[in-house]
Amino acid sequence: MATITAPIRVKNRKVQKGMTLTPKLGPGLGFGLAVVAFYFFLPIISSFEFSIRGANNVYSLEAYGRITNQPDFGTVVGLTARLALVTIFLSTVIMVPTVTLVHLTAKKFRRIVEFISLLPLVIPPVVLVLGVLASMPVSLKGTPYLLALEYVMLSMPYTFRALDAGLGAIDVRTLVDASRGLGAPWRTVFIRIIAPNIRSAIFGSIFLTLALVLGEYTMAALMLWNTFPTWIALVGQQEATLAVALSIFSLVVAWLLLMALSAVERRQKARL
Amino acid sequence: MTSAAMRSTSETTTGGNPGRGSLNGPLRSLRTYIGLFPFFIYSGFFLAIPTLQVMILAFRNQDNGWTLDNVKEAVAGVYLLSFQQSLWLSAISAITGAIFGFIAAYAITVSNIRILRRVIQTASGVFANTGGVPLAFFFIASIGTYGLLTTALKKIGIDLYSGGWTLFTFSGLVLVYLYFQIPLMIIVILPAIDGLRLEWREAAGSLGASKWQFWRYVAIPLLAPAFTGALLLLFANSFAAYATASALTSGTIPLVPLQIGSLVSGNVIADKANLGYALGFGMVVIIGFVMAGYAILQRKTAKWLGN
Amino acid sequence: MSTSTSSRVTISNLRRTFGDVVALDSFSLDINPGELVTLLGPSGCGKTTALRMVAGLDVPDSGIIKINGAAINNLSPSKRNMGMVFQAYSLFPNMTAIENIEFGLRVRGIDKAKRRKRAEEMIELVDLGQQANRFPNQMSGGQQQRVALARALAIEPNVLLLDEPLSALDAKVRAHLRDQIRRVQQEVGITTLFVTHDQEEAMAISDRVGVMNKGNLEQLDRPDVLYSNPTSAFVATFVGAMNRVPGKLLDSKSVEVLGKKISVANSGHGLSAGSTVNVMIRPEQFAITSGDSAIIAERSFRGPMTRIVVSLADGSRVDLDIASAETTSMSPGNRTGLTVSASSAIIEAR
Repeated sequence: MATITAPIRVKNRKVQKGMTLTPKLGPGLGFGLAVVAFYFFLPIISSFEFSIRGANNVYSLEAYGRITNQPDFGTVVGLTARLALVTIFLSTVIMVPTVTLVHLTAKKFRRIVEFISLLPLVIPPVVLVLGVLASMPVSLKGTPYLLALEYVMLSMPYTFRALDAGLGAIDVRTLVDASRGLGAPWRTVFIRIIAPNIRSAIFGSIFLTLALVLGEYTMAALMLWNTFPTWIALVGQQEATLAVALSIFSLVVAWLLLMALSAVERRQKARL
Repeated sequence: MTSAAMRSTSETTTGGNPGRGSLNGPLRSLRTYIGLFPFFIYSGFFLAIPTLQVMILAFRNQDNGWTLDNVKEAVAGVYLLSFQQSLWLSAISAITGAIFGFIAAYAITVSNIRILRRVIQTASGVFANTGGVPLAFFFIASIGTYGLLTTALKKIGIDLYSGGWTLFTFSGLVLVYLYFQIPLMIIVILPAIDGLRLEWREAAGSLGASKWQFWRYVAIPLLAPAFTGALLLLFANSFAAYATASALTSGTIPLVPLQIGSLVSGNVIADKANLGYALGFGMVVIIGFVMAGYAILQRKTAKWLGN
Repeated sequence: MSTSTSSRVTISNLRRTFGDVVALDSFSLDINPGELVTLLGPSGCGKTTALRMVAGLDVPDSGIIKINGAAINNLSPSKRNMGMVFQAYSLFPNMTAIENIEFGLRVRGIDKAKRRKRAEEMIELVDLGQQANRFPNQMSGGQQQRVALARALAIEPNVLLLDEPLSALDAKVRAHLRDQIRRVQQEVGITTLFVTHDQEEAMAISDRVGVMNKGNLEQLDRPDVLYSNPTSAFVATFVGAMNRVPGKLLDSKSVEVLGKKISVANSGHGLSAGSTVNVMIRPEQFAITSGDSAIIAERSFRGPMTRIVVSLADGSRVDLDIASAETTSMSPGNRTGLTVSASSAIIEAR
C-alpha cells in the first residue's frame, strides 16, 4: 500500500486514466487493425486505378460507361434479374409460412426445420451441382430456372436465420392469441398482424438472397448458364480493363445491398 | 435463456394450445402438417435428392453394382494429393484468417468508435461474399506482375517476383483466400467479443488480477469455444470454395473442388465418371464433421457469452 | 471471523465532470473503521461515480482518497486491495462458485490448499456450501450475488464496496439478502461503502446514510436522524413518504399549518413572511380532531396502520397513516378535523 504522506502529489491524470480497467485501443491493436485495413484497401484501390487508366496513362471512367454497351449485357443482366426474382419469390413463399408455422403451432418441428435449413452450409455448391446434374430430369436441366430453384436452397440458411430472428423478437404467440381472442380470422391475423411486424425480417432475407444470386458463380458456371458472375469471367478472358471495371461495379452493388440490409435491420431494432 | 425455457415448456404441451376454437385436436395438427409440406417437399426434391444421388453414385460402378473402387481411387494418387492440398489450404487460411480477424474484431470493439464498427461490419458482409473472378482481378491489379504494389515496390528496389513466386502459387492462393476468410471471422467472432462483459474485467482487476492474468484465467477460456468454432467455420468455408480457386489456378494446384469441377465439365475419361461422386462424398463427410464441431462449440459459447 | 483490517476511508473534495455535466461536486466523506455507510440517491446523483473512484475504476478531476491516512489516488484498482460487488453478471461464467471465490487468492499466488480452505470458509459465510461446484448460470440471481460477496471478502480487503448489489433482484430476495449482507459485514467487521437508490434498503442496514442529489451530498446522518430530522426538502421527500400541506409562513422560523403553529426545520429557505408555503408532514405526523374541515376521500387497510387519503379545504390531498384501531368511523365521504402532531417541519416554496 502506498505510504505517501502530505504534501500529496497526484500523478498526471492521463496516467491515472490509463490505470482504470476500461479496455482501450492501444498502439499494438491499432497497428494490427491498420495492417488489416491496408490489406483490404490495396486491392480495391489498385483495381479502381487500373479500371480508370486508359491508353497513355490517361485517367477516365470510360470503361464503366462501356459496361452497359456490351452486346451480352442486356441478356445476362436480364437472366440474372429473372433468376433473382424467381428465387426471391419462391424463397419467400416457402420460408415465411414455414418459419411462421414453426413459431406458432409447429414448435416441435423447429429443430428439424432449422437443421434442414442449415444443411446447404454443409453441402458445397460444387457437390450440389454434381448431384443436380445426376438426378434432375432433363426438362429441368434444359432451363436456367433450375438455377433459381437451387438458389432457393443455397439461400435457405440465411433466410431461415433472418425470419427466425424476426419472429422470435416479436412474441408471435401473444400477438396471435390477442388478435384471435378479438375474433380475427387467420387470414387477417397473418396479413394485418404478423406480416407487418416481420417486414424487416422479410426484407432482410430478400436482400441476403439477392446478394447470393448476384454473386453465385459455381453452379451457374458448371451448369453452363450465362449469368452476371459467369459473364464477368468471360469478359475477363477477353478484356482486362472492362472486367476489372465490372468487378468493381459488382462490389459496389453488393455494398449497396448490404447497406440497405443494415438500414432495415436498424429500423427493426429501433422499433423494438 | 428465458425464451428457450418458454420454447421448451410449450413444446411439452400436447397438440399446442387447448381451447383455441377450431384449432383443436387432430384437425389442427393436420393443418399444420399440410402447412409444412411445401418446405419438406421442396428441400426433399432440390436438396436431399441431389445429395443422396451423389452419396449413392459414389459407391456405384458402371454396371450399376456396388463398389468401393471409386472411393479407393478418390483417396489415391493425384486425388489424395488434392485432398491434402485442400486440407492444408483450408487449415492455413483458417488459422491466419482467424488470427487477423480476431485482432480486427477486438480492435473495433475496444475502440468504441461506433462508426468504425458499423463500417467494418458492412464491409465484412461485402468482402465475405467476394470471390471468383472479381477477387482474382483485385489481387492481380495489386500484386500481379504489373500490379500497383508490385511496380511501386520495384521502384524502391523490392522485387516480389525475384524468388520465382507468383500469385498463382499455393501461398498466393492463401493470400487471396484471406480476403473472404478474415471478414467471415469478424462477422462470426464479434458477438462473442461483445459478450465479454466489462464487469468481468473490472471484477478481475479489483480482485488483484493483472491484464495478463485476466486474459489467462477469464477471457481466453471464455473466448476459446467461440474462436475454435469460428476456426472450424473458416476451414469448411475454404474447403468448399470453388470459384476463387478456379479463377486463380486453372488446374495448376490440385484441389478437390477443382477436381470435381473438371469432372463435371467433362474433362475426363469416361470410366472415371463416378469418381467425381466419390470425391463429392468425401467433401461432404469432411465438411459434415467440421460443421458438427462448429455447432457444438456454438452451443457452448452461447451458454457463457450469450445471455 | 474478523480477518480483515478495519480501515478508515477519507474522501476529500472529489470532483468529476463529464463534458458539461457535473457528476460529483466537491464530494467529501469519512467512513469510520467497521462502519457501513450507504450513499443513497436517484440515478445520476453521483453515488456510483463516487464508489467507482474509491475502487479506482474511474479517476476524479480533483480530490484525494485516503485509506488509513495514505492517499491511494495513484494506485491502480488491482493494487488497492478492495473487495467490490457489482450490480449483476460479475461472476466469471467459466468458473464454479468456489473457483470464482478463489480467484482473488489465485492471482495473488496463494497455493491451492490454502486458497481452497479460505474459499470454503467464505462460501460457508454466505450459506452456499451446497452450491460450491455449480456454475453461475445454474444459480439464481440472489445466489450469484452471495458468491460475489464471498469472492470480494476472500481476499481480506481493507474496504468492501457494493454497487447496487440488490437492484437486479426480486423484491423478496432483496429484503432477505440485504439482511444477510449486513450480518456478514458486521461479523467480519469490514469498513463498507454501499450504493443504492432504494431508501428502504439504505435505512434498514446502514450505520449512516448519505443522501445525494445531482453530485452533492445533501445530508449524512444515522437513518433515524435522516428520517425524523431531514435538513432539506429533497432529503425529506426522498426518505420515507412525505406530504406537502399548504401553510402560512409567520416569520423565518415559524409556520402555521392546519391551525397549529410549528417551527421551521430548514434555515436558509429565503422565503418571506406571510407567504403561502408547502409544509412537509409525514403521514404519521397527523392527528384527528373534532371538526369538519377535511373530507375523507379514500381508505386502504394496510395491517397495523390504515392509509387514509383526505381532501383539505383548498382541495389538496394528503396521505395519512392512522392506527387501524382508530379508523373505524372513517369512511370515504365522511368529514373530519385534522391537525399536525409534528413540532417542526421542512418548508419549501409553493
